[in-house]
Amino acid sequence: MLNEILPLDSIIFMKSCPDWQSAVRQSCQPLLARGTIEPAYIDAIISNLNELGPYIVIAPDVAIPHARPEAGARAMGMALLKLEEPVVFGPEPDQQARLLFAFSATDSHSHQRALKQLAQLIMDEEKFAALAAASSAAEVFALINSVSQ
Amino acid sequence: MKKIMIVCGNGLGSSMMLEMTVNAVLKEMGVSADVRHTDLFSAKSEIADLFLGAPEIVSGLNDGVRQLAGVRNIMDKTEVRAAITPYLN
Repeated sequence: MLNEILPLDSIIFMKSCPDWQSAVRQSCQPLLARGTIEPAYIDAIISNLNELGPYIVIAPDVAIPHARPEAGARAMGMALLKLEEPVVFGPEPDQQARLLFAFSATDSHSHQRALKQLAQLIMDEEKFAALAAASSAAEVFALINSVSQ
Repeated sequence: MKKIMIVCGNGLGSSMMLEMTVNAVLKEMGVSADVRHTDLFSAKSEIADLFLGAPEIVSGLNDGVRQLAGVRNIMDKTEVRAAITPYLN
């Protein structure tokens, strides 16, 4: 499941991003290229964060940029932007992230299994450490495969 | 049975993932509860024994009556357990 919506070519690496807005935009580029989102979807994510704060940073180092289906999601999809230097989302020390899993969903439940598998990857200490250390898309994809059923 | 409403900005990403953690914690504790998730806007018209979510989200529900608890790392079972335990009895 997770390996179907987060394919190898949607895993991108960058050294750093100047701010969270550009990191969110970068993280969504593969989704835009695949056509799972419209450009307006990215603007919706940014305005949500401006309004509600950095709640998409769900765990240390991990953010999940996303907006509501009606904001411009065409299909279910996920992409990963992996940064060498963390990008700051908020004033707290735990509101930074180096792993941005951008996703789009077309309803409120069909992506549940994929998110569950993503949660497994994040909660597994060994796998998460390997993910944080990974320097190639192939290494990351092998980890994604290991939690995908 | 206690009703726990998990809240996030859109009602479909972080709240869904936090719901998984809450269910795992409740299972470990041997406690059953009615756990649901929704977005901040819809949550304003919901009734629950506890509203749970990122601190900056649940603060938007503060009306002096609702019981609120914030969770920073939604994947952390220890933090989630500490946040919900006071509201389970």
